[in-house]
Amino acid sequence: MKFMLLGEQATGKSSLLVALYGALVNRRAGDLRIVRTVDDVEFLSRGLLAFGRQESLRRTEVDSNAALLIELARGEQVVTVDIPDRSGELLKHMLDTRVWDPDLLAQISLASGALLFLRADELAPLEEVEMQAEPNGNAPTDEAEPITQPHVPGAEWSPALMPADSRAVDLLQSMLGQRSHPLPLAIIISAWDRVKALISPPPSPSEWLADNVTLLDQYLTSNGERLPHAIFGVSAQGGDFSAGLPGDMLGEDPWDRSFVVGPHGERDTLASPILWLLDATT
Amino acid sequence: MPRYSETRDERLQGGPPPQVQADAQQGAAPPQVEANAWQDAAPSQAEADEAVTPLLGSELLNPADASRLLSGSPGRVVVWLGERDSGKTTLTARLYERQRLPGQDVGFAGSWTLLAFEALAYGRRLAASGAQSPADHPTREGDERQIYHLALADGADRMNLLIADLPGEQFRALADNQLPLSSIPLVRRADKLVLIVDGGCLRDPARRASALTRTRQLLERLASDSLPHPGSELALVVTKWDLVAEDPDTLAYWLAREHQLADDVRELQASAEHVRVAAGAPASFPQDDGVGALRSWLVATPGAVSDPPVDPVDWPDDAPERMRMPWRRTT
Repeated sequence: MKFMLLGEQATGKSSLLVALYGALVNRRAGDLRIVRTVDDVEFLSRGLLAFGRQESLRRTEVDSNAALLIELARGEQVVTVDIPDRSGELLKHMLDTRVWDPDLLAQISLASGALLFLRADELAPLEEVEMQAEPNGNAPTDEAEPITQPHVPGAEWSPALMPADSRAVDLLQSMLGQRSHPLPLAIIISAWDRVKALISPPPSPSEWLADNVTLLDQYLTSNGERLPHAIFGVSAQGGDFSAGLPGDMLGEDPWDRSFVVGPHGERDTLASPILWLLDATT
Repeated sequence: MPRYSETRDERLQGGPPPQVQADAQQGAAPPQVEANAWQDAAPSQAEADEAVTPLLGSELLNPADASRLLSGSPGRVVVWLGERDSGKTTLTARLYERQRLPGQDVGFAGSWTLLAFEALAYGRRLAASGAQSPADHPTREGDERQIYHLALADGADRMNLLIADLPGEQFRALADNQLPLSSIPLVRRADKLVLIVDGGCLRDPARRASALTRTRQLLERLASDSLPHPGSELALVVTKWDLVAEDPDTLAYWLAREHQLADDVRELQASAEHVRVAAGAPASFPQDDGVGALRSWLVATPGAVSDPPVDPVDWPDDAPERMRMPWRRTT
């Protein structure tokens, strides 16, 4: 089964791949285990080394178009999972120039499902929430939307200036335009540790998306038949390396620090988005 | 010209876009009109370029695109009828931007003109921040790409709004009887015709009478062209309502004429809606902005009950007497 990784730069695609590989190798993926590693995993090993040093993945590592190609067993079922990690810059370039990347276009009809990556701290600035003009009427004033649209003084509008939620909708509706059958979609909200640290009690990923990424949330709900989806909060690093990890995490291995929060707020293993996709495609 | 627009025609080649095909496969309700209802519209001049596949949603739609969309999924063609700068673009933009607010009773289901909406939203945000905003999408002579698309969903029901505004020059030509309404396919095809009274004009004593005259001229043209036709609906919308409401003189002027004008509209169509909209109002404006009521009417099935009309203004007891009086017909 081929699962597409969709996300622009620094949205956590490679970090999840590294953390997932670490969890699988080190038996932290629940019922899912590796039967056979098919491809070169040097990139993933280097990533795990970086996480062990409490260092984020370097840009040269995340844009290397690596892949995770493995055979996985879940009970009696054995499946080959191919998760190519495409460069976020390529996706950005595609959305900005309005022309399909030929490789990505070819994958759309073949893919069994996809993981769409969004960064929590990009979509809803968690420390300095700049509120847009208060909406009059239907929405209470404390529910005004945060500004997520980049402002570049003097710049003529271009697709690059679209906010991240619109870009996600742009990508998804373009994909549906090229695919005649449903596309199971795991929405991955990365940097979830920041949401967890700053919002008490933390919302579930589904609640967070509905409150902060309303356009995408409505789009997913309205197109649920063609885009069956589940929303996961993911912290591949377990915390913010630059700010320093909490003391109780310092002695933990990378695969024990990383975590996933399921659609309704339940803590789960790194493999849960893949398990959901496997279930959704069978 | 930005690179993204260079391929705008390319996506139209080769029959209905896959999204339409998929909508049709989903068992979408048949279109309300025949697909060739735009027969006066020029066909798309797209030329094949096999080297690239363009992404969806880069440009406004032309009538041929709109017709293709309506052939696969239910929709409403909405036409704003108003003077230049009367707030038509702001209405269009706000209908889209409102979907960004949590708690909407209808959900955003997609847009074939997402980028055009985003460009509008960007300009509005720049303007709100005090920066100079780029000009709204200009209507170019001979350019039939002037239709915005917004798909909304209420549960399992999906509704495509195809929103166009008549260029100001065309509005004037219609009002001055230089152009018959029937010569404009968009107007003839419209499911929802929206007569716009510019609240900004009402505030200007030198222009307010002209604004009302234009509206009545349009009403006469509609009547003489047997519009709205059966199945289409009419609304009177006062834009920039915040400018009217905050100025006692303007408000008194309008209240004295509002019901008469609304009655004239209802003479043409008894069920005609009447909405006050403050789509571009500042945050401090205390009243409902009316966009929700307008949206409800736009997506409503003809004959269905939409949101209740906006509440009348409750004047404080110490307001000048002439403002507290019920409307009266002026002579």
